[in-house]
Amino acid sequence: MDRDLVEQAQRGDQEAFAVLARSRGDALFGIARRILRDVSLAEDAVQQALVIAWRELRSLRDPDRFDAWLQRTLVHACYAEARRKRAWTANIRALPIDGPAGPDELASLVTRDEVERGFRRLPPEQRAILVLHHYLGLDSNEIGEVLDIHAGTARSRLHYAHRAMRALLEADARPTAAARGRSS
Amino acid sequence: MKARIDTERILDAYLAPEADRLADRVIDAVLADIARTPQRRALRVPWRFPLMPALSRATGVAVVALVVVVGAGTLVYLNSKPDGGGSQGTPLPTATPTPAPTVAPTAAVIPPLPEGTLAAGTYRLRPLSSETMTIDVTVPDGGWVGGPPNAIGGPVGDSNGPNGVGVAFLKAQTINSDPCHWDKDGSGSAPQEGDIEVGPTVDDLVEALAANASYESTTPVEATLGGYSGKRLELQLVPDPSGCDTFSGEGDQYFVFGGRDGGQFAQGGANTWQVTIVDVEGTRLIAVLMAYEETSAADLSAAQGILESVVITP
Repeated sequence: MDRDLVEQAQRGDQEAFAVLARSRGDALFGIARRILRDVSLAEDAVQQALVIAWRELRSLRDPDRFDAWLQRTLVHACYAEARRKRAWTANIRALPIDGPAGPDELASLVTRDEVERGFRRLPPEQRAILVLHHYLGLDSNEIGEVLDIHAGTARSRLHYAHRAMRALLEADARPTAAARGRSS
Repeated sequence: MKARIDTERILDAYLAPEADRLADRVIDAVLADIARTPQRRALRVPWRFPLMPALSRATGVAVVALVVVVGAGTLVYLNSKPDGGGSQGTPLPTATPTPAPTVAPTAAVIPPLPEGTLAAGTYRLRPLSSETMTIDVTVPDGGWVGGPPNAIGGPVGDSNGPNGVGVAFLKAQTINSDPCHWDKDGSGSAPQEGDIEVGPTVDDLVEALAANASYESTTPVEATLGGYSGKRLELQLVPDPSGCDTFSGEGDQYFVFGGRDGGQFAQGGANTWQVTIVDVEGTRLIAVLMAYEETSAADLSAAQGILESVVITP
């Protein structure tokens, strides 16, 4: 069914593309919001990605790979938005810190605030790979397909992203722990 | 080990799925956009115009095919002569490889620049339509984009504004006095020669560019490209190419150079071109590094690295 829609859209059928866009919109927004940590930027990235996808759709050789291709387009749009954001960082609107998932688990280790701060310090490329892995649940092979890189490269990048995140969390935790030590 | 596991669990919790709802207005905006956005052809060449109309292209293909057939036939004939007269013939570009089918391919074959996302590695460009010159460039990892035959776009937004970056190789004998209004014959077709004829040397072209008041330019400095000497200057192009002449309904184009091998137009508003011009054994080669104020330092540095990796075979 989706393959038919993709093929129709490749032939210039805007209605078919509209169906595809509506059915993928929420999922794309979920990815972009987690990479960019900002609702407005995420909306811009999704809009940008869908327009680019429409424009470049004829270059997609295998319609069955539409979703991976679309996710790749979105990730690149997120990179662009993340870099654009630097010009007006003061205006960014942060996501709510108290999300619904796993607060107890986080609280037992580090505060959500610390995680948020650490994650935001990662470059967009590392944020993207962590989102693909931890949010979408993709393994290295699947991440490689989305990012158009070898699985081994994806594995390596995932490793470095984890390492960077860990280093940021540890760096953030150190002064807090020291302060707690002094006050007790 | 424990810390690594904790980090992953923390990220699992932090990035966990929840109800994400994209606002309807975003999809509405997309649908409005696509209604006025034409789809690109499957084999897109994002920064070059079609070099020739279809008929000319078909004729060109036929001529190339004829040259190959005649060239190969000539080689076979000459090599069949007892005096080994094959070496006396004028070497044709298409006849350089030995015709013997049993020769093993060399280990270090450099692939031609493909269309689309590039893996890190070295690629071979043949940017000039009437020359055999090849340019080998080494591209870093990160999603650079090939635009054969002559250009490479950056990992963020290709070569487009507001923050892309690109590298292109050109050749030109003319420039446009008004790059925004290059359509001299009013046909809307490209390529067209520019209205300023430029002398044959590197300095001739540098002086012509520097003298053009349509864009700001820096003082030319000595430079090299692939070991060849020349000059470099920067051009700050038009802030917004809207209203410039257009061809094929593909938007507004701002052409600095004229002619078939100069077919590079500004990739967006306020495009900065770092133009390096060198003399490669009598051929004046132009390398353009296109960037914007918002181009990241990392992408700019990587693009410079691509230029520094250039190996030219005249």
